[in-house]
Order: sequence, then structure tokens, then C-alpha cells
Amino acid sequence: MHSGTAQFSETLEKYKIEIEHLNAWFSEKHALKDISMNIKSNSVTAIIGPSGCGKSTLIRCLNRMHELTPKARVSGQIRLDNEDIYAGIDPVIIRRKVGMVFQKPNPFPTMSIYDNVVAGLKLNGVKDKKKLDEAMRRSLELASLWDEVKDDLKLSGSSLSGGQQQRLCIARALAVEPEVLLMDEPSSALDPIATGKIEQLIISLKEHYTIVIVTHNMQQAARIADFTAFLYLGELIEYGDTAHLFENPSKELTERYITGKFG
Amino acid sequence: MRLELTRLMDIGLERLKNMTLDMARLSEKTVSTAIDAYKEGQNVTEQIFRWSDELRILQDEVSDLAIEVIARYQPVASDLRLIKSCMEISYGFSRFGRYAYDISQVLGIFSDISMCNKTSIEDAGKQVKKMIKVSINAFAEQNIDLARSLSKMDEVVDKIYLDFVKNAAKAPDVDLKCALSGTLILRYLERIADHATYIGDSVIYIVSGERSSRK
Repeated sequence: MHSGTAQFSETLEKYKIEIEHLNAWFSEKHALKDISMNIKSNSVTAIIGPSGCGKSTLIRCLNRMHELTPKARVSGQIRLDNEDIYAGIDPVIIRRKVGMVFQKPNPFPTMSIYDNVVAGLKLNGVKDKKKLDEAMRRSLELASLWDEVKDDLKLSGSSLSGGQQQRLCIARALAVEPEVLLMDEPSSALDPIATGKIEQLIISLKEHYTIVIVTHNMQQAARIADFTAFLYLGELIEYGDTAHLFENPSKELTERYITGKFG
Repeated sequence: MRLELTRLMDIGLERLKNMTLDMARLSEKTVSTAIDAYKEGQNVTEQIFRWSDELRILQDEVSDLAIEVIARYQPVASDLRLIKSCMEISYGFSRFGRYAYDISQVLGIFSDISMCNKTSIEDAGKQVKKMIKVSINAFAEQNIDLARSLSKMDEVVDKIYLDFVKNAAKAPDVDLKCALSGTLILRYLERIADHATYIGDSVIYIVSGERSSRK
């Protein structure tokens, strides 16, 4: 179970995402090497590893953002609900189902809080004001931001604090009703209080979504993730139950990394 | 190429190991003194009490340092297992002190027991001393083979204790003073042997992550 090609023992578990023999390149650079792992529905899965190990590349492959980089390519298979996301499906549809939140909060600076949240819906052609209002409120509530901004919806998204801006970006990602939420170091630019709120939010969101988070902060992975994957030089070294990985890792390399014996 | 890092946490872990080894040496001396005093009929209760109390204080210090290292460095994997085990092992060493004190008190309760047959206690005492040494060496060297050997050694002490109790129960002309004092001392020795075995379990856990089903 706690091996490079992770297959959890509970064969009846439902996997939201199945990754098989995934390889990714940036031009000649082989960034991901034969990654196979399954991601369970309604769970938080953390990807850890040193800088440049392929963490961000891995999650960018999960919603086909990797291919937006010039000279980037991918081989292998990624199945979302048993459907190969690279087999002739419009990547826009995949990105609607698999939302993403980035390291630095990036609300649209000229838009109000309201418009930021519903931007994706409007782009998808939703014009009904009632529907937009409902989606906006639901998304802000899910992102635990509604109570803080409900009286200031016309203010610019940039007027919020860093932590609030990140939750606004999470609300924006949730508004289009994705099934999977990818988070690339979502709290690395935030203070400990804002980080705590994002972590609580992630835990509460897994009831509705499958979450994959890249983090440099191993304590964060230990706090919020159900499963943790350790990547090193593009290879999946170990993947399994978070508590087990942090108490008794199976691989010497994982042990050395998480105990800070190499960086 | 991997960059090898010196970690701030290592200073704390080294101190934790050294404090636990200090306890190990003191607990070994305490138990040996109590066993030898029984054989020679000496009253060493006061001395044993002081050492036992010192062990209790040292155990608190180990716990405090362990908590501090956890709070400051958020250890994981083998570091975390070492810290958890140092807390458990230091408890084991403090129990050695407490049982040594209980042994020394038996002489006070029964005064002269020089007429009693001491063979069982001497045999169990010898085995327990050996087990304490093995448990300390297993911890100091993180030696999983030594740690595993304790379980078999413990069976010897268990047998001596149970044989003594059974014989005392069925002997027609049993000397009550000898039977009671012998049972008590053997019971304390048997508990020390158990704790030595638990220390072995903790060493196995530190090295391999394997948990024991004992206790």
C-alpha cells in the first residue's frame, strides 16, 4: 500500500481520479516519471516534495493545464470518474470539473467581489441574475467568506486582505460547481491566522469535493490531508495514509525528507 | 546531489537520549542495590528511596524536554518515534526505581527473613539484572536483536515467580513470613522484568516502527 505505485487496499473504495503511468515533459526535461496513483473521492490528498520535484506539474496535468506551457507534453492516462481526460474531451470541460486555486491570491483586480465570484459562470453564458446571485452567495458561504463581505459585495476584490482574497479565489473556483479542487500552495503567502482559516475551509470542503493540494509545509499536509504523496525528482516515492507516512514512512528517502535530513 | 543538513532538533534529541541513558544507569544501580541488600540482609530503604525519587524527577525532566522538542520542531517519522519512546522508556526506568524501593521495604515489613530459602529470588534477581543491562544496551545501541531477546528472558522470570507461588500454595508446612515476603519480592522482580521487556518493545518501535501488542 505504501509504495511508489499506490493502490489502496480497499478495492471497493471509489476513486475520483486514477493516474496510470503518467509522464510529463517540459521540452527535453522529463518532469514526471511513470506516476501511478489513485485519488479517493471526498478526500484531501497532499503532494509534498522538494522544489522542482514535479508537484505542481502533477496537479497541472490533472486539469490539463500542463499542456498550456509551450513544448510541454504528457503521456499515460488520467481518468476522472473512469473517463480518460486526455481522450478527445474539450479541456475547457475538464477545467470546469477540476478547478484550481493558486499560490498567490489572484482576484480580478478591476472587478467587484460579486463579479469575481460569478466571472466563471458569466463566461459560461449564465445571465440570469437570480441564478448568479444564488451561486455567488452559495460559493461565498462555502468559502467561509459570506459573513465577512455580504455588505460589501460591490467593493473591489483587491480591497480584501490576503487571506480573504484567497478565500474569494476559492469561492470563484467553487461557483462553477467543480468536482475536484486543485490547490497549489494556497496558503504559502498567508499569515498563520489566514492559513488556519484556509485549512479549516479545506477540511469542510471535502464533504462536497475531492481536493488535491500541493504544499511545501509538511505540517500542513500532516494537519489536513487524508493521504499524502511524496515526490522526488519527478518520481512518486511513497503514497499512502498521512498518519502512517508521517509516523513510519516505508521508504528511507521519505524518512530523510520529512525529517529534514536533506533539502 | 543531496544536501546533508545539520538540524537544530538534533541537539534536543541528543539531550533526550543522554537524559534517558542517565536514568538507565541510575535505575540499574537502584535495582542492583535493592537485590543485593536483600541477599545480604541490609536495610537500604532510605538510599533506595532517594534514588527512586531522583528517577521520578528525571522522568518529569525527560517528559518536559520531549514536549519542548515536539512544540519547537514538530518532529515526524523516526524522530517522533524516538521522542515517544523516550517518554515511555523513562517511565520504565522510573518504575524500576519504584519496584526497587518496594523490594527494600519488604525487609522493613518482615524484619528478619534470613531463615528463608533465597534461591528463587537470587535466580530471578540475577535474570532481572541481566534484563536491565540488555534493555539499556538495546536502547543505547538501538539494537533490535537485543530488544527482541528480552521477551524470552522475561519468560524465565515469570516462571520462577509462578513456580514459587504455586509451591507456596500447596506446601503443607509453609512458613508464612517466607512465603509472603518471597511472593512480594518476586512479584516486584517480575514487574521489573515486564518493564524491561516494554523498553525492548519501544526500541523495536524506534528502529522499525513496529508496534507491540503487549502491555
